Amino acid sequence: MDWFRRRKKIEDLPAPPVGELRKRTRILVIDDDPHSFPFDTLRKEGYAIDYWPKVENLRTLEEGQYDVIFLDIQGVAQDYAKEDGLGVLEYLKEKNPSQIVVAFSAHSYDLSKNRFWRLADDSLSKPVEAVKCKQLIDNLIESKRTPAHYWQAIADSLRRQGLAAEDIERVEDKVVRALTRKDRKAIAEALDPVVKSTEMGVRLVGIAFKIAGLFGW
Amino acid sequence: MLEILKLLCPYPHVDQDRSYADGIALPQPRVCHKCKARDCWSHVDRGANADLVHGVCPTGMSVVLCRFPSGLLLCNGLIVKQLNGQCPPPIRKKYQSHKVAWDEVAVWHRNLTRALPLIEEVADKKAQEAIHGLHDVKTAVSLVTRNAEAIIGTLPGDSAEERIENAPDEIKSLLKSVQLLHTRLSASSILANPEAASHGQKHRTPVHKVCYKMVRLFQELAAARGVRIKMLGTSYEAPDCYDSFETVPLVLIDNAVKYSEPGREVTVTVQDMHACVSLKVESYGQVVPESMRKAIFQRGTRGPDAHRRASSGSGLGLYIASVVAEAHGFAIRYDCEPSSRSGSSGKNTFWCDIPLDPDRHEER
Repeated sequence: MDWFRRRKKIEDLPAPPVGELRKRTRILVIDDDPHSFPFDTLRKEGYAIDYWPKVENLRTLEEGQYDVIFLDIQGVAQDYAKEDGLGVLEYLKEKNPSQIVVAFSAHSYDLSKNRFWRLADDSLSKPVEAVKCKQLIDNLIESKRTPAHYWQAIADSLRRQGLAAEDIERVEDKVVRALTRKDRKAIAEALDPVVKSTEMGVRLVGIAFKIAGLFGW
Repeated sequence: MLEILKLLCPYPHVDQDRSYADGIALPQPRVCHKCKARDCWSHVDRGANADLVHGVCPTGMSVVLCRFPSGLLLCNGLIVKQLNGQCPPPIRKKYQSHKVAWDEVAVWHRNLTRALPLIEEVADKKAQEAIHGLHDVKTAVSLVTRNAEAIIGTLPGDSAEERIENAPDEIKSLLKSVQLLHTRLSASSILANPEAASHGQKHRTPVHKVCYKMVRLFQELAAARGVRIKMLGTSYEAPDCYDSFETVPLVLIDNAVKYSEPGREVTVTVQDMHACVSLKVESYGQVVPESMRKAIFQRGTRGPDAHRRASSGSGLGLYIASVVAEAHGFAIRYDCEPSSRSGSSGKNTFWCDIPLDPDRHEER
């Protein structure tokens, strides 16, 4: 009977309401200059923003505990990477490609830093006005804080480990059904048989839980 | 670097666009000035595998192609003693001072080739110093921006936009100045790093709204110069643009205001077209002479009247705007209608067509 059942696609999930998403989106600004970001104005408007003057805990970032990270390039991660902010960005994009990172720096004039801007999901060159910053966050929420964005990261990982397209679609169907039922355990069970290592399993389940987070559970 | 080479060249030389320049030691000879063909580049073998290549033009003058790591330089109007036996005796006699020895040219070429890396090093060092200065300016402007926003934060309203809308005129003025600073700093970054024109993601950009903002930013400056600015056209489209796009209307309106005749009007028109949004900035003032029209989008070019009209100009604005335009896949064009009386002044029009995303355009 399974043949007649149409497979569920990630697009079948309803779009999470943008207003709600705005409140749910956890933002982190990592910058050694506390005046560069309009914290007061944005917090007053309901954005949940934390501030680190430098990278305090790489694991927190790697695990995707923040939805959007504004990352400066200089003076924020010398303890972690020789290339400072760029090193952190490269590491995050390798470990957790679904992590949304905004390149946030005054170094837009610096030819040697172009890779930093290219690698990020979006960029904001300092100095920045609150209104422009809001627009960028709202754009990111609309374009990247979507089930499709997070699923894409999961599907890419599965494809890289050699899973066939047909099998990926099957997993997608199970994950979407679990999401519809708000069943976290079923999400993990859908991914568990197809991942090759515990580390990868934890990472992919974490990304799938991000989709659940979009709907507030 | 090629510009430095030209400045240090002792011999007369000619650009690929056939424009002549004097050397430090020798000027262009009259015979070259009178030459109608000006096809010096076609009289040397550019494919020859040598640092210096000699050729002779139909007039009988020597042309010497000098190959440097940073580019080619063509010296003209010379008579290279050992190599130019074809030079007719009257020319040879008339231009005694333009006779040079091949060894002399070779020594100059060798010395300059050695010196260029040192010049480059000094130039890089100076550029780095300027870059660090730019960082400090940006940090200071961030602080000014936060303070301006703190003032706005005390005003009534539910959002930053609402508070700005309700702000008294003097606070709006303060904010406009801050915005102008941001846009100018962004332009400076593009000058240092052209790739900055395409940093970040493209976003839907309401061109009319952006231009309206720029017009408002320049209104006070224009009024101080006795120039009016008005906006025309209807546009509802929002092409996908990078943040840097703002630099285009900034430069075009800034130039129009700077070089406009007092008492005249600058018109900014934004109009939806078939598959693009058209932006046009018209002003009245000195027109760009035909010979300079190609060069106005090059770095450091200023029009003949530029110094008299606006000493603050650097000849970089149109270059930066053209870099931004290129990053977006369009070009800025220039047109003029000289007035019948003088011919040197008239209407200047800078215009460009910002393409709409083809997929979205088809959807409509």
